[in-house]
Amino acid sequence: MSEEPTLLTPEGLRVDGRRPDELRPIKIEVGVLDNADGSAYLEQGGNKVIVAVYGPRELHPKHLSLPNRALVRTRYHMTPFSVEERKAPAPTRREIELSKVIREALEPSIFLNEYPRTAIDIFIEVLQADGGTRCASITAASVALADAGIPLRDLVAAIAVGKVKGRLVLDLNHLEDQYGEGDMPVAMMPVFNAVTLLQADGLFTPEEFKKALKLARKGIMEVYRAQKEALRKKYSRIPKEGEEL
Amino acid sequence: MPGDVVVTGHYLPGHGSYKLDRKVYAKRIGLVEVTDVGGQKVVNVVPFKGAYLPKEGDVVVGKVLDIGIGHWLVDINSPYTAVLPVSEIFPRPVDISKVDLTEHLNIGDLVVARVIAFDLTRDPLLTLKESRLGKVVKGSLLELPLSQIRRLWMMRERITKLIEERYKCSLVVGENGRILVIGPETRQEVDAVKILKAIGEGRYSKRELRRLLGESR
Repeated sequence: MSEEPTLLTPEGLRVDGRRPDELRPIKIEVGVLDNADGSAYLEQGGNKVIVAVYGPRELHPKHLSLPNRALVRTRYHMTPFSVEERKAPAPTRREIELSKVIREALEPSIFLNEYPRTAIDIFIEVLQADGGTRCASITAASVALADAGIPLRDLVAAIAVGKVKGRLVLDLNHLEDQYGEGDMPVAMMPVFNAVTLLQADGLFTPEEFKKALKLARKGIMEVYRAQKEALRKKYSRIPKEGEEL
Repeated sequence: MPGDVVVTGHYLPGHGSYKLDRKVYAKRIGLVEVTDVGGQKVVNVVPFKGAYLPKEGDVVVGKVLDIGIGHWLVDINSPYTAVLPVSEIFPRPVDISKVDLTEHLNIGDLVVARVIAFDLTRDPLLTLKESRLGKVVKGSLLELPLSQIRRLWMMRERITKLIEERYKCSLVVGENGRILVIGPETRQEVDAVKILKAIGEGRYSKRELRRLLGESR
């Protein structure tokens, strides 16, 4: 492997010139796919993710259906060209696990009991990966769910906090993830202050953990604003319903 | 938008909204509508998009998917497939071993039916036992998003009048997002479909619509 890059300059700037608590620029577009019920495209720094949502729809095979709520199926997949070295297209262990983790981060936000015996399918395709794709996927998938008209408690926004050279930094990129000392992805429903995903690898002291969570919340609020703005941009164009003629 | 606080205080959550700690939140992307139900203010969020959930009493336009023993399975443009039992077609009990069900309704046939039962634990039940209901033998089918159907519903009478006078077509607006246009000739049906689509998509301004509707009066 190549030599370790300078992760933190003496002035306290990161590899890509960001301050420790600065996010990468986020761009979200809603309704990019014609055939899906809901869709979203998200760019966060070098990450490019596209999400399609179908449903609620009839579930096949029928025996998987749940009598009291809708079933959520999630597929997280990285395209072979999304990373530097070609990735085999078959789903890896990591992708299967991430599919589950993302599903469990989104499920609490959906009113699943309103559509018993049906399925909601979420397809996440990572077109380009640059660290923090699970967070990017959750953020984009939540927007796509809202676009599909599925009833939600709140949007789910996600961001990773990490430790680089002993400092807590927000929104890790690929290099920081690789050479840093810790990575902690967090997903939340901001309105309720409810955490729906919290993972961590690396070592965090209890104080660091508390600080990291606070930092994550700050980042999540920023992501949340971007989500809402993207949805508003698409839907404010529709003329008002029931307008008096 | 999901998670947005619509109002705080003495309001009840209706469709598309929920209440927590005196605050009413939106569940979906849509427009807010406040109705008065028995002195209580109910907040609804009328969605722009979403699946059709059958309601008892809805008139729907369905397509026969399959024929079972003593019933038909009908696609009603919803996450749930509807069931149309033989007993809801014939006025008196029939012996299904002697009747060929395909003669009455075959796979691919369109029906205008009414939902008589649906409660999330069982599939919706349809009936054809009403004068306006039955198999569709002619006409054109138009499928629109539910929000557009709502728009048409609100102006239903005026639109129906316009279509009838201008194009000599009659309309069946199914609650499930399907509209049936029945006219004397295909050409008029096609024209009527075009104009319905345009109205549904909101391509007309208020003024244009008024002119359009006024003309036919």
